[in-house]
Amino acid sequence: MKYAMVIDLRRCIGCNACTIACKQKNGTPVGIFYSHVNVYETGKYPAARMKALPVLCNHCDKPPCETVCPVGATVKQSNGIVTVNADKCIGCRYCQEACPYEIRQFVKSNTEGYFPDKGLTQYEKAMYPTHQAGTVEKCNFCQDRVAQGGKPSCVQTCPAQARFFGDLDDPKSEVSKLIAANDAHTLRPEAGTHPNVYYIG
Amino acid sequence: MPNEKPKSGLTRRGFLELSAGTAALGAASYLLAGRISTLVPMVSAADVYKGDGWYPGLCKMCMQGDCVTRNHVVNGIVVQVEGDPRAPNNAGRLCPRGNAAIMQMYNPWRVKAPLKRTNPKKGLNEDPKFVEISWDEALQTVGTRLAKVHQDDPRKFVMVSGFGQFASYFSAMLPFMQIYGSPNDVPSRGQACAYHFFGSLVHMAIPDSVADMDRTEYVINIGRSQGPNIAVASSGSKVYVDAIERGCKIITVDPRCSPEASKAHEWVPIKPGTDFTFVTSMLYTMLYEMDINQLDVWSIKNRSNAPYLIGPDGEYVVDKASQKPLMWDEVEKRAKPFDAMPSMNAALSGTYEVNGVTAVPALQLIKDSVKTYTPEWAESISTVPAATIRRIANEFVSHAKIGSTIVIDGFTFPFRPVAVQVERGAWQHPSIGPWTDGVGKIIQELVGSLEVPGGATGNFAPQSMILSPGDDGVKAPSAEAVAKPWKFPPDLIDSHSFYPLSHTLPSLMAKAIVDPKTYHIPYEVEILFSSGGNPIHANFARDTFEKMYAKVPFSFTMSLTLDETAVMADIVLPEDSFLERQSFEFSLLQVVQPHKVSTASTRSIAMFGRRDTSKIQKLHNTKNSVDIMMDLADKCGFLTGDMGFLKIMSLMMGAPQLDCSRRPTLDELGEAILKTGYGDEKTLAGCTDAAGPVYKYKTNGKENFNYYYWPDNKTRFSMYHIHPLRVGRKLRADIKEAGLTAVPGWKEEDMEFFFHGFRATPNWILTEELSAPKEYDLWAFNWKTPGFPFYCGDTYGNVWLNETMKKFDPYEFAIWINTETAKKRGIKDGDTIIVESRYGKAQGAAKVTELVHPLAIGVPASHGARSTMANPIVSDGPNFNALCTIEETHRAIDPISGGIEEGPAVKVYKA
Repeated sequence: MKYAMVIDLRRCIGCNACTIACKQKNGTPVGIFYSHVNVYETGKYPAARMKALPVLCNHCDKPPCETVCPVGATVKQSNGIVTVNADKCIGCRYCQEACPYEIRQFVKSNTEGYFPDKGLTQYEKAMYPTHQAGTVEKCNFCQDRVAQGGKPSCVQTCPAQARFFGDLDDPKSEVSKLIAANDAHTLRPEAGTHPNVYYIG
Repeated sequence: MPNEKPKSGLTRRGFLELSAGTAALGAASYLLAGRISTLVPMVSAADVYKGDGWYPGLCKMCMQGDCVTRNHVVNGIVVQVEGDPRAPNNAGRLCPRGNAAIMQMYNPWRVKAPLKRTNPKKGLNEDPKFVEISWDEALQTVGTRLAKVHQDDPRKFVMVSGFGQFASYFSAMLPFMQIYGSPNDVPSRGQACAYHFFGSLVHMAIPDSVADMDRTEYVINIGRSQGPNIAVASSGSKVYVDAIERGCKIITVDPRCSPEASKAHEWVPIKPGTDFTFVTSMLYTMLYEMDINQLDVWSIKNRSNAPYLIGPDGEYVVDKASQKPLMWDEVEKRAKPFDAMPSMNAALSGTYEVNGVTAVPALQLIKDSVKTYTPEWAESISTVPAATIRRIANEFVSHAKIGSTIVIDGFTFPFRPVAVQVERGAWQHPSIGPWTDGVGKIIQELVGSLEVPGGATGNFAPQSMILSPGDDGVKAPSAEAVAKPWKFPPDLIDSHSFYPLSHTLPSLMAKAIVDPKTYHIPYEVEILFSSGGNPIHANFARDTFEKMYAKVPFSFTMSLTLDETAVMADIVLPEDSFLERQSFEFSLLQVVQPHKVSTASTRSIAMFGRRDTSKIQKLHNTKNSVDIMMDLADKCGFLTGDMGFLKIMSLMMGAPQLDCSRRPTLDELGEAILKTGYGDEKTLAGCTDAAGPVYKYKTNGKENFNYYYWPDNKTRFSMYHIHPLRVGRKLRADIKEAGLTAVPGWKEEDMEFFFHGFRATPNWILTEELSAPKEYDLWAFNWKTPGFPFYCGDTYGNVWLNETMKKFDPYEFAIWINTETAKKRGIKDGDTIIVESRYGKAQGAAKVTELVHPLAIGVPASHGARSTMANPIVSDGPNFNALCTIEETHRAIDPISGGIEEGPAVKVYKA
């Protein structure tokens, strides 16, 4: 079993719905985004085009974050998902240095909310304690949802249906078929981490 | 700030256990708040809300408002909102706004209790000095005022409402106004997005016409953001990229290269405000550079008024006996009524003597009207290369597959997989804006692509009444094409009599309230009621609206936050966040059953928007708007009774069996609607997350296309647009009879410009902004973004939307300027620049980009303006609205649609 994601850039409209879906699914504090979309452009007028590149943890086959973690907080699970155990994390942030995708997030505080002069809202009081200040967090492919047969929130929410998720070890899975049928690529392959988020287009 | 690690490593399950106690504590302190205004029934909140469950909901973060959601509620708190995968329209999807709904509800800037102003001085920079009062006092105060004005003169009560309360508007507010007897229901919104007239006229495409996205093959979008705009997740974006994936060619004519234009087959950059030249030169190409037999002659002759004979007065030449319009029968060499001859015998050109007058087929007049509108002429104004226009015109015709058919359900339809969709960006320019769509309809009729599979189907649910013809054989004007009746002096506060075909006129309402003499209003407005929208923010000329609210003796609002409109009010009634709105809500789908996206999953769908809020702990002392309207109807003494509020409301909600002798609960209302629409066996309690969304399709198969109901020559589309000509003539006569020399506010010398668009064939005219002094050498324009398409939902005050777009989208809170244009002005990316029109300024960070026309300055959404009591984030970004004017003296109001000129000429410089 090796969970992977495919993102079809031909379909992505760069709306950042996935970014906010992830934020609310995980109840992340201010400034913490496990996943986001870079919106940019290419070309010269009038042949210019707006582009969008959604990025998230690549759940690499050879995750350098796991290698460098001094306390074994970051672990590649048998299903391919790379997880972080917040209880073990000592917040050294070595993993952030090691990650070629700069996607890991350091939680400075779990008590500062979006309304600095007004205190935490009931929602924030409910959700922020699930984040340990002084630790590093990242996407875990919504492992709780996936364990129940669901999809990661970013995949389900995408208005353009540009994201796909599944088992790369299964040649009949949607992700396997998409990769086989298209010229799929990964980000920064030269870093040698063997990422498992593929892009088409 | 101390960083706190929880005492134990908190897993999600641990959080549930911990927060049960926390929630109980929180609830107890809420109950013990002590102030009369915040008392709630003394039940144990912890018992009511304990648990973890998923409950059905409906998103209301935009006008469409039909994305079905599942809300995850833990101990009374909504912790996640996601799309329901079982809903046919959004199928689990949700746009950035839908995903941010939690931050609308858990927003400390919300109004928490009814408020009364204690500072009599009203102004956008004045502290209203609100104090909290009880609901009883608030409703009594409002009710007393309403009852008094009701007795005196109901016209003096004006309701101003927006999309945030769309459901209640149709179901509760309109009935209230009807019984109250006030005609002054003035939407807060719409003058910045007024594009419904020609669609209403030609094929009842209201709010707009949309291509049959499952089958269409060539779509020209002009001034329209298709996909990431409204209905982003409710199929809009998905079907857009699906269509492209299967090979559909989409041509985007727009000053900017949007995300959707970036995926389209072609982006055609165009100078703002000049789209009219693009379509008319396409029309020229089709009529002068193609053989008529390349067009759909069958459709032209059978399904349009193009063959109708027109006399020197511009009117139909009619049969004396039957009064039916005549066509010239080329076989019998005489004029005959349209329904008394084979349409294929009708002449489309030539000059004939009929009934003593010189008569010409309407198509000849249309052709004559565009004879100088060559692609070269269009290029000189729009900068779109003539070769591009010609090529697109030819591609459009060839992709129309004229003569082809498709069989659906055993019924043979013409198949014309092309569409031209003209929307806001093209419309919002006086006179020539609406006619861009008027010509867009002509172009489509020439290839027979209206209301058939593959073509532009109009997004109202298909049904037999839509294309039903009048006595003249032409589909009768409907919806916004029905001219508002003339009355002078006016009863209507918004001058609708003077703009009889317009969409909404909140700016004119504001001006008339401030200056009733100029607008001939024979009364002074006493009460303003605003809900679901913020007219001060959503329109232009904030100072005029400020004066309006300051002048009117009493205004009350239903408000989510203390926005500009609330800050000017006497009484603020706090409304539920939509996550808390109990029982049900109507979406656009349920109210008028159109959808921004025409696809198999949405066409003709009807849904019941169930909201189960039973386990969501209400945060504040807020109420549901339907409850509030029932309260007010009660205060005014017309809640019950044979033609009382409850009776009318029950009929308009589609629940005729409701017991109207007593006030229903919201659940009783919801259940009544559910049973009427979906069967007596249905119950509200049965609409659970497990059961899934409630919907049905009203028609299927062949019934999903209006051609089915009126095939062949059974109805005809207006191609020669005689209706605005007639309306204009009547309006001129009415104005003259009233002893006026001009429409209020307009200069006499501008009246020819005013009436210019009230014609039957297209004609170019230079607008104010296209003839601005040379120092204003660029043109600003605006568009809706996926994050902030409307004020609705408090998008501008949403911290997740704000943070996300600020961090990751450099195009959102910025002013777009072309790279070369910026270089010539010494402007670099990120510089603070000022955009100045003749009416105001906008300031913001420059986004130097290749994605915008060199003559265009793009200012997205409606950022950059807030009330003194709103979250400061609301003022992030540049404010487009400041650049426009509502003044008639600047010819800024389109006389047909009422829309405001949104292509102001500007100059740009570093701050």
